[in-house]
Amino acid sequence: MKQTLLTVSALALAGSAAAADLDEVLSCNYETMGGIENIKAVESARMTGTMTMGPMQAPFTIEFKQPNSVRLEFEVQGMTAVQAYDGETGWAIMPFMGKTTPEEMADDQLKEIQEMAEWEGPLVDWQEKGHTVELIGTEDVEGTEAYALKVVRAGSEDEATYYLDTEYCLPFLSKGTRDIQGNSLAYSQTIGDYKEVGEIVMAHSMIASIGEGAAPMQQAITIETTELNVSDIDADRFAMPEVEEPAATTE
Amino acid sequence: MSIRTTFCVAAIALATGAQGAIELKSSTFGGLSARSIGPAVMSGRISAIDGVVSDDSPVTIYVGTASGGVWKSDDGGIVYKPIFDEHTQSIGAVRVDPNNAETVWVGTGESWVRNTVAPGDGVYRSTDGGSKWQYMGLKDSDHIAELLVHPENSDVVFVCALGHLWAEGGDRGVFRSQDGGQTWDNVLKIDDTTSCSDLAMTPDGGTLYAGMWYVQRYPDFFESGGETSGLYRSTDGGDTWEELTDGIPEGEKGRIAVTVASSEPERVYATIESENTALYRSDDGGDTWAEKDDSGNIQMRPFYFGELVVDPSDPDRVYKPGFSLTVSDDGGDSFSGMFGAGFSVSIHPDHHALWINPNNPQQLFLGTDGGVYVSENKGFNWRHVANLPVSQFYHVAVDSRWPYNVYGGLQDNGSWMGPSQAPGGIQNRHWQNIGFGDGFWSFPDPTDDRILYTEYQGGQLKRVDRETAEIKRIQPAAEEGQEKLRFNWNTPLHLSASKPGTIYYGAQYLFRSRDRGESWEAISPDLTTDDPAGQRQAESGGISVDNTTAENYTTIYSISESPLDHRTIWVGTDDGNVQLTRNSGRDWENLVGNIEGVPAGTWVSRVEASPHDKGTAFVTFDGHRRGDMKTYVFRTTDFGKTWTALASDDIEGYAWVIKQDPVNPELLFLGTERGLYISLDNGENWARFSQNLPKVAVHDLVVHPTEHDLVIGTHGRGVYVIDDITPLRGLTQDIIDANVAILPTRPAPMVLNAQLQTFGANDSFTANNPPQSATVVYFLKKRHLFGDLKVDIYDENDRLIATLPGGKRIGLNRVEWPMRFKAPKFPPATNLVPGFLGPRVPEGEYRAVLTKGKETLETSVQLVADPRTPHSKRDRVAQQTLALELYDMINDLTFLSDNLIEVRSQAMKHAEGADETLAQSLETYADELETLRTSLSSSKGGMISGEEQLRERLGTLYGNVTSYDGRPSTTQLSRRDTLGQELTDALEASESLLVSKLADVNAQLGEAGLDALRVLDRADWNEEEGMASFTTAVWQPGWAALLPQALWGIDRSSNH
Repeated sequence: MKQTLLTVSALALAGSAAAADLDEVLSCNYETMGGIENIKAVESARMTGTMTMGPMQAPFTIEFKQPNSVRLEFEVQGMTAVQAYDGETGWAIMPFMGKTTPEEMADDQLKEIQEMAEWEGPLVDWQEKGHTVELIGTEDVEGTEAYALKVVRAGSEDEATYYLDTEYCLPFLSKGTRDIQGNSLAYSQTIGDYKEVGEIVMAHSMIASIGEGAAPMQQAITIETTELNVSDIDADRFAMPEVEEPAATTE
Repeated sequence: MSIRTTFCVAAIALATGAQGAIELKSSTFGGLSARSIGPAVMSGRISAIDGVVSDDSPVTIYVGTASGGVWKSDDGGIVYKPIFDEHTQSIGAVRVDPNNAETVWVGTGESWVRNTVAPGDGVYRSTDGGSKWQYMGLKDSDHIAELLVHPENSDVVFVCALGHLWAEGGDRGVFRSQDGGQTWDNVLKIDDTTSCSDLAMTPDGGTLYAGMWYVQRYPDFFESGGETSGLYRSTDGGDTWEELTDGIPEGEKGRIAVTVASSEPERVYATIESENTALYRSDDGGDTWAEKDDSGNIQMRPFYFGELVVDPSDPDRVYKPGFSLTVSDDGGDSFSGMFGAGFSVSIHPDHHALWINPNNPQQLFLGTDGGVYVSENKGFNWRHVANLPVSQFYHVAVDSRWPYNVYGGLQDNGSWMGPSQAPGGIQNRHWQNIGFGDGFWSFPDPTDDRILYTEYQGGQLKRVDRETAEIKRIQPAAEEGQEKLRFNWNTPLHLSASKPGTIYYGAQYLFRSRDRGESWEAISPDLTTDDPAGQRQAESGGISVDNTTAENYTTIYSISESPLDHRTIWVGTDDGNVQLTRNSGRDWENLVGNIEGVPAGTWVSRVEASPHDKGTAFVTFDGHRRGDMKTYVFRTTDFGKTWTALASDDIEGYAWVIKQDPVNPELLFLGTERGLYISLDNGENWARFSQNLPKVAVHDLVVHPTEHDLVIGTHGRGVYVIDDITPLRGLTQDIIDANVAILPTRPAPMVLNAQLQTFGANDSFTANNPPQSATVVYFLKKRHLFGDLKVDIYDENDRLIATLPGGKRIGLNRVEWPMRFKAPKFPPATNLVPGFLGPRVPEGEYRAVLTKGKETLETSVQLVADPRTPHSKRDRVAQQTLALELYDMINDLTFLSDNLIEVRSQAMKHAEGADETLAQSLETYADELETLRTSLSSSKGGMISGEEQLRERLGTLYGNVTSYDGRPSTTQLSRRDTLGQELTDALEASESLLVSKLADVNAQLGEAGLDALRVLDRADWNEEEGMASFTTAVWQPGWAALLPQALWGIDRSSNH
């Protein structure tokens, strides 16, 4: 099935890399990803996997629920950290120094988790969401010909460039800067290991780099299991718990 | 065909590179990245500085360097980032558009035109503060002294260009664009040998002043000054120009610097090189001029110091960057020696750029030959910017220590040595000075690396004791009857590979010493052309004589003894000879006539004997000092009778150095003025290596013989290392054609844990160490998009040890394995313990399986002990054994804790619907489980509770043991026994709860018709958590009979 899917989208733009306009690139992208209807049919998702930072690894679970809710848990030394956003409030539990109660996120962190909560990514329904997406051209990126899309999310001034290969229109790299307390911090994300999950195609690997230069801080995320439209993800998992409640999970 | 014949054919095929052409692109090298090791401690020559001030942000500084590109700081000068890495690194001018701080102009090609200056290739503009650059033309401007943007119109831009330095012509004079750089008009041109040396503009942009300069360089001589030099003015935006003469010295003039006092635009200052070089001042907008100060610093080396800056708030305060920075507070009548004639304060001399903060004229940014200095009090005190790694190496060498050291000499910064890796990264403090002046070749003696050979300019060879810093001068001297020795600025020193203690040194004769420089014999006649027309250095300079040895010519420039035959020695001279002896100097043959396609007399930048075949050698030529910028690379395989040209159109820049890989003869490395180029097919095809290596001049290359690193000496960006080039050696056309292929890597040393406390700051320079990992390298033909891309590591028992995410880019991808088991799993608690990392795996061979989608490929990686390790194999095994015992103990404790949590959770669930008696019983049971659990792991909140339970005690011991690779202490061993007993007690205690008590509870549940409570299964748990078990038995509830003796006892006969 994937084979068919990919062949179709490859044909859609074959030989026309230079001439493509934004709509063509995006429809090619939606098609490879399983079709816009199928992408939008995903109401919730749960993924588990491994985070790798140098010699350290930690298991994680990430849950999404439309619209705009996300909860990430990762475990270090038996302690589970939580970062979540329910569409309004971003909050976190970072139990590693003995603090087991949730705290509301500062604006800079909030921006990051808001982006994470946009499960389908900024290219889907970008106009309705108020994002700006612009095809700025075709570039050679590490030897791969790529469409460069400039993306500015609604309400933000942070610019990101998404690079989509010209054969399948799949994002494989995004680069940008994030405004952190008035200073701009460069980051990049290498995206890959696309796999079919149900009716759609999803990336299963992300390597994030923060900072610039030869050896930026790197974190790799590998997704091992994915469930879509999961019935047992309740909306209250995303809301910040009352502070009185014992919050750190010990499972 | 006989077997013998077949063998011969195959051998020849290998020797002559008949593997076939291997077409490659820069992307072929993929993620194989160069690693900068600095140094930044001495920094390098700064050629231009501009800044931006605003009311609500820190100062933004742009630093243009002589040969290390452009750097930007947007935090007031704390952190500098390179912003011009993909272009020529020689910078003449940097200018921020006064109308738009995001628009930045760079004029390439330094204008401080010393012997080693490099040409640029025109003008670039960025409209986003330096992120992206657009080329704006003036390709033949070569050197740009100044670039100005009209203060009210961003489209109007002026460029002050020198044009060709080593030939006539080029884009010379003042150029103006009125369309933002799309087109240029040469609005002031004198002739094909007269350059623009400086350009100034009044604050309203209405009047321009230009210094015009007759200047030409030749290999042996330069001429600053002539009849065509002069000071010019335009009052109509550059349309017309008039020469200013009233009060200006008549006759021949040299370099002119000119500047306008922005606070009083009629006040103009100029330094004019003439018979009596002096400062001149005009108070009437250039109509008339008066001679002012002519003190030493004003007169010093006018061709090299042509900068003049007026304090923006005080028209009488004028700074003269020169040998030192001197300043006048009386409108140029007199200058104070700011540093007591430049020697009492040891900031680096030779100053070329000065930027004064217009909002705070106390603040100065000064560019010197040793980097940037900042003053906050008008130049009285200075802070060195020690994080600009723009060091200008001429040559590099390595030693055989582990980690090895890199040695090298630098332009105006002496000679230095520093480590290729250091605990916590390579910092400025790790670099040690081993010589002064301008440094060039430096080597450790191969038999005693306490003895170092270093030199300074013009053949001043020294032997240095690196422990005591004592120096013995050992340069050869002319013998009786011999003519004066001619040593190049950059005199070649060569150490015999086969005869330790034998060193060669080149004047016009080749000298050999067999006693470490104590005595010398000339083993050649004059190997140069000895053409007197090329020996004018004593008169060099033009109006101001400048005889520094920098123009010494008709000298030997490169020496290479065959590593396979010490009697075969190749010599290249700066005037174009390629000489060979095959009998230790008894007979010499000049081979250059056999080389076709290079103009006669072209400077031989390198001769390089092949490490594979004594009849094979490589030669590079560099014609830039005669205006010829082409790349010349040749190879001979028959002792120089015939030569093959190897340069291709893929190479940019004149050639500095070539190296043949000592393992794979097909693999060649070429350093040019514009970067590093690699060939995999003996020079047929080349591609630029650009991964984290700027387009910088690569002056020298060394392949480390045992570490298999490529050490890259750049003239402008310090030293880079490509760690482990083993994969490049295996890169064949078959691999490049495959969708995916694995390549070999060097054995990985398990580097000892270094635990020094350092606190960083953003203004300090720390270079990265090589990854402390084993590396799996594979080649991808296309970017990987679909399906898994991962590397699984298995031990000899086929146990999966690690799964690593793989790189996805085209070309080589390096995956790093930290050579550890997974970290132990700890019970939930409220305190972190030092157990983030898994124990180290034992040394030996491991299987790596690369999965790419449906394909899998295998290779092996070899892990070896740190070559420095003071620990015996037996001690290392003792450490590993204890680490694994503790690892299992922690996992046993966690499995127990998880059981207590799991069974308690089940009990609580049953309690919810149970009758009162049963619920009471279940709750009591649940409480007992929880009591035991919290007695084993910290449970108190608070930031630093200090609470220590068995979990914390075990974790601390584990951390202490795993952080040291040698024999555990007796205390640690006995601590293991103590904690082992505690764990045994806990497990025993749990036995009563999880076995006998559980049975009772389950009986009650059975009576009530409810499901029994179930403990976790260890095998399932291990698999789910990805935990390996190393001890002969692992605990599981119900194993009481085995306690305690069978637990955590590692089978010591196994190979851990």
